[in-house]
Amino acid sequence: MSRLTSLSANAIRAMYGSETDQGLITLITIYDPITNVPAYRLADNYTGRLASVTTDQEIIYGVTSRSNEYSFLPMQITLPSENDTGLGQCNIVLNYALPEAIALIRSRLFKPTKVLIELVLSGSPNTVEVSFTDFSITSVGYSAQQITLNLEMVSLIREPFPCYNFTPGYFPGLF
Amino acid sequence: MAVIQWPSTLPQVPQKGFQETVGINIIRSATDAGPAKQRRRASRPNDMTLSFIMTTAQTQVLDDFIKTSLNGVYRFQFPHPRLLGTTIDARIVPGSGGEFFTLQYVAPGYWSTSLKMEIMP
Repeated sequence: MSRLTSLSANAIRAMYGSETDQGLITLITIYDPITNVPAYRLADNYTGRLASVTTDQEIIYGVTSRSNEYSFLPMQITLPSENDTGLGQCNIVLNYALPEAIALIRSRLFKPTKVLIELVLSGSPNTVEVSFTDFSITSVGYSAQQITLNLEMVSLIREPFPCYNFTPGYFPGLF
Repeated sequence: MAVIQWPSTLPQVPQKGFQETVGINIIRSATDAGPAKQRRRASRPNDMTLSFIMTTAQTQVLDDFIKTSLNGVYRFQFPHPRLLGTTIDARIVPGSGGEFFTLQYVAPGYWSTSLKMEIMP
């Protein structure tokens, strides 16, 4: 199904227009690998300050979508491409490596961790234009400057189906 | 800790000069033919370059304010030089070498002080 059929009229107008005040914002929800509830919400852009977490010492920018607050963190997202061998990898590069984040990665990411990627417009952040479900973090790399999350889907191509061969041993009635 | 205020003992308006850069963060993409496409990304901080005349004692207050109160990183409330009566959230933008302000001798006991600030959106 074409993506154009699932996008709102506002999004299509913004994409084709020569100028628009609508920005496309990617929302990332990372689930706790143990409890499977949303643990971290991040956005690659912001619409304003997040009042509930902004303190006198620190301003936190982000997006509020469907009553959930997504913190702004500069990042680059590579969506999966299609190639001959199946789906390509999806990568999220976070351009901000904190010691706390590294500790979190080392202590929590010991099994595939579910990630939800959604695209919204800055003018209507409550309307999800595109949603990518079923991604899991399968590996993480980090340096002093950035953290790279490698995301993969369960590859059905590699599943052994049908699991039986039609041999006389399994299906004698065929022969 | 409450929001840090610009010290009342320092000049509240830049006596020697003020420059402000106003903008919005947009993406502009050139097309093969026809007008370029452009879309808004987000708001961005406005930059201000301010020049003050300070006494020697005031330059020391500024030095302490940046090093002790701000630790070089915190934001503070500052009276906007253009919008009189409006207080803004500002941060001092250091130069590429980490320099926060420059002093230039004007007369005995007086210094021309210039620094760069950004207004937080």
